[in-house]
Amino acid sequence: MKRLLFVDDEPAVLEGLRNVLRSERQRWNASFALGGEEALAFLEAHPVDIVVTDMRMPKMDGHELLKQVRDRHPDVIRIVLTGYADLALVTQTSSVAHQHLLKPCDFDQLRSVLERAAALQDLMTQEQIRKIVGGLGSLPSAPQTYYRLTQALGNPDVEVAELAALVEQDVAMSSRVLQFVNSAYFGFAKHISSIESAVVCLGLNTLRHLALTFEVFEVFRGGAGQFAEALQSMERHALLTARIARKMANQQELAEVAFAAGLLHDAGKLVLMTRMPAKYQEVLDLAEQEQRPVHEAEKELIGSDHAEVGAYLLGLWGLPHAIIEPVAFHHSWEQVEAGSQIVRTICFADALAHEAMPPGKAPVLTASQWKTLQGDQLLSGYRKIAAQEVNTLAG
Amino acid sequence: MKTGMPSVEPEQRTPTLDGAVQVVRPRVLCVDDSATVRTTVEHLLGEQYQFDFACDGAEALEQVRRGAPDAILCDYSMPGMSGMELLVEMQRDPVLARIPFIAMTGAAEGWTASQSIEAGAHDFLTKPFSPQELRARIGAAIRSRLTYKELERQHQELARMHSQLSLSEARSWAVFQSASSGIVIMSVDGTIEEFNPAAEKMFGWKGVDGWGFRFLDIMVAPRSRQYVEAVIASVIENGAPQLQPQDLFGLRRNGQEFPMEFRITRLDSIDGRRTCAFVRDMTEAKQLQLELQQSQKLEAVGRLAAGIAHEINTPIQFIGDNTRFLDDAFKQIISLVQSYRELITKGDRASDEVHRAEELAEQAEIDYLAEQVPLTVGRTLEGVRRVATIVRAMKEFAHPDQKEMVATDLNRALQATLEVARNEYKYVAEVETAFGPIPLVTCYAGDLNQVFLNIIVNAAHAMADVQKTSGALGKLRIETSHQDGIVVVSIQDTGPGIPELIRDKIFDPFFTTKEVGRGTGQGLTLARTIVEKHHGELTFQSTVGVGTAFFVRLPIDGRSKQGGGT
Repeated sequence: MKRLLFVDDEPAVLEGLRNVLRSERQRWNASFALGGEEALAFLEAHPVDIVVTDMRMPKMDGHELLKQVRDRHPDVIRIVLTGYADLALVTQTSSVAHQHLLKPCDFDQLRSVLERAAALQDLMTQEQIRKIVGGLGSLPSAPQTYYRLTQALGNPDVEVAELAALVEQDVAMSSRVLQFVNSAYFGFAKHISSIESAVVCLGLNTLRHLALTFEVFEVFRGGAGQFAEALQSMERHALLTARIARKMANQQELAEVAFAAGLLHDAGKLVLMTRMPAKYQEVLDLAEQEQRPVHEAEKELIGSDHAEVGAYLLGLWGLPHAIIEPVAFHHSWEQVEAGSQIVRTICFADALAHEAMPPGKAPVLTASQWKTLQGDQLLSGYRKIAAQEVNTLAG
Repeated sequence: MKTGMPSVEPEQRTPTLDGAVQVVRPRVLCVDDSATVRTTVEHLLGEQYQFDFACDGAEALEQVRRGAPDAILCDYSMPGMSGMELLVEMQRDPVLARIPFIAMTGAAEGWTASQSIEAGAHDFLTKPFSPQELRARIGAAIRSRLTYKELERQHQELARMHSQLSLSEARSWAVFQSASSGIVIMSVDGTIEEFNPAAEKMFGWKGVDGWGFRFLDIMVAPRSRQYVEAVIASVIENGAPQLQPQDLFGLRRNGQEFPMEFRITRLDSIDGRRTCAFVRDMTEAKQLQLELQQSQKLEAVGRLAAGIAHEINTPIQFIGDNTRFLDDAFKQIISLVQSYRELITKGDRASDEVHRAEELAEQAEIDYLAEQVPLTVGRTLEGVRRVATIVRAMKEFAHPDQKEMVATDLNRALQATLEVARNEYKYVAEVETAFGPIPLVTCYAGDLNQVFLNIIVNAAHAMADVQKTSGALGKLRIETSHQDGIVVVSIQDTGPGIPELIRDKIFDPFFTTKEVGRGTGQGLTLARTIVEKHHGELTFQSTVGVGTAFFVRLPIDGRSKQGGGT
């Protein structure tokens, strides 16, 4: 049974929630706390899976509460339910809240968000991973890209397209922009899966606020050292995969989804490398020694691979399913075969990017897998695309 | 300027530095080779004049060139340069020629009076002369000299004033020609005599076309005439207007009215009294002011809306939740009651308890409740949803956080605007929307909502007018479509249509057909300004008796009509 904790400073709101949740009492065990302090005290004494809190509360507000929850109980899923919509506060809170709901929130909507979160939690069986992913504020960005973005944001005449081009180069920024634009705060009727559309929809002002919540990767500066190179090559690989995937997709809308999914497909690696560096070194060593794919080594030593970790993170953030699906399945062959066009595209682009990126790796897919995916006649054309993109990125 | 004749007293009074008046005696040069004559002359007139002496013409000439005396008394015959020669020499010099020259001759000498006068002398004196005659002649010469000096001073003064005047004239001309204010000069009776290029531009009257008309008749809007006339009259009488300032409107030649700032001064000159009006066209200034006010108002409304939304959303949250709970609870209770009732029907009908239970069920109309309560709950939930929608629309309409262009779903924006304006049209028209699949438009959503609101409210007012006479409900139809990077929003009403006569005026600032309090006459002007800021177009089609359709065409990137970069 899932354990939910609802926090509000208005007793009547809690009362209403208690009443309406009664119909779900068979599967959900709901508790209620009047304010942030009471909530923290409850969390100390009882296990909780999901916290849903109001934002504006006296003494401890929702932002502060969720920060504490993130630090003390990182595996708890954090959701904001508020009627207040000040942009600065919302962007700030979005870095500690997984999801954002607006009051008044219809129970059907609340229920589906809770169900989705609960299902995600159930899928991710590794408590350790849940804690690591839950403890994240945002993914870390590459400092150079972050620096260039803040420079651009400081220019009052900057073009939105220019900003989009910058954001698109960074896994962390892209994931945050997609998270925020798809939150209930904006209430867009459709999911937004294109990074460029996301930046355009947010606009300069919102992006400025959001940029304040971006975190920068210390490791990229070479301080913590060991993964500096691996991280950089991972970012390069992500961008290359994204670009190949965009070219492969045959239709405009799909191309943008393919780009976003390609860029984010290895987001889980970013989490694992930065959050459990020692363990991940073992993973890389194992893969190297036994000449096995990295995701297999991950599975063996951590119990979960980067595809699952990435999908869990992006799922918590409420990114569109079209992006999460390829992230989750790009290494599981049965899913690729059975999955949608976009899953196949990402799997294929990933393999092409590995092949094409200097110094070049052994083919990730077997010959028969290549064949199953796209057919031989297309393969040489795609390899050409991959080579072109490598050149574009290098130039 | 002092214009009086010089004093007859042959003395000049000059104020010194310490303020005392020093008496300066006029200087007389006496030229004679005879020491007796020199001594006699000084003896006779030395108190009145300051004398210098010379023994011959050459010496005299040298002295005169060093410093001009006020008069010269000169003997005719002298050794060396003679008196005549000195006179002739002095006449050559235009400055020296102005010094009065009195020629002295002996009776027997050939230098006659007429000769000397012809040669340029001021006067002559025949020796021997009486002291009275000498005094009179020298006095006359000095007077003439002083008169000349005074005239010359006046002449210089006039020349100076002339040059000042011409500078001032040039300055006035330049100001008149290049002033951005319209300047209109008119006679006391208000007839236009002259106006400057700025006024030509402002009023649309070309040069002399306007001269001779009355200012009030051709340049002042009828509604402001009475006041302007009073101001002019008051200025003519008192030199300054003694009325409270008012919002005034000017009139262009094409009949258009415009807000103006009006000042007037009286011009008094030698050839009579005039007035000079200064007029500024305040259309743009007022427009800017209104836009500023409007955006401040919107921002305030937005802020307020966000605050109110928070306050309303919290109770709505628990009203909704509780209602839903009541629904579930009631359904469970009712099904329980139904099963109890079935039990009862199987029980002993004669027993008191069963009889009583059936009676209660009848009193409560259980079947009615079982049917009605869920419906009521459904309606209540619907009401809650509507309140939520209105609150959300209010927030979306105002966009308090938006300070730059953002990609916006105009269909949703129109829906929100319709929600906000519902009160205006709900009794006069039914709404029909045909929202097409349009891409997001990069825009200032709050501003565009204002445009839509203006058009919708105008349409509602127009249809209300029709309804008053015919009683028929109008139809407000809103359509969106997209083609080649341009999104078109059309808002159609079934109002009375816009009369042909005023069609080219409806976008003019301050033009309104509505009674006071119902419209400010700037709605459509603002709307057009906003649409043009988005590089779009605001146009309309109207058929009298059928209705009016407004079209807002917007490039989706907010920049150019082609949808590409500018």
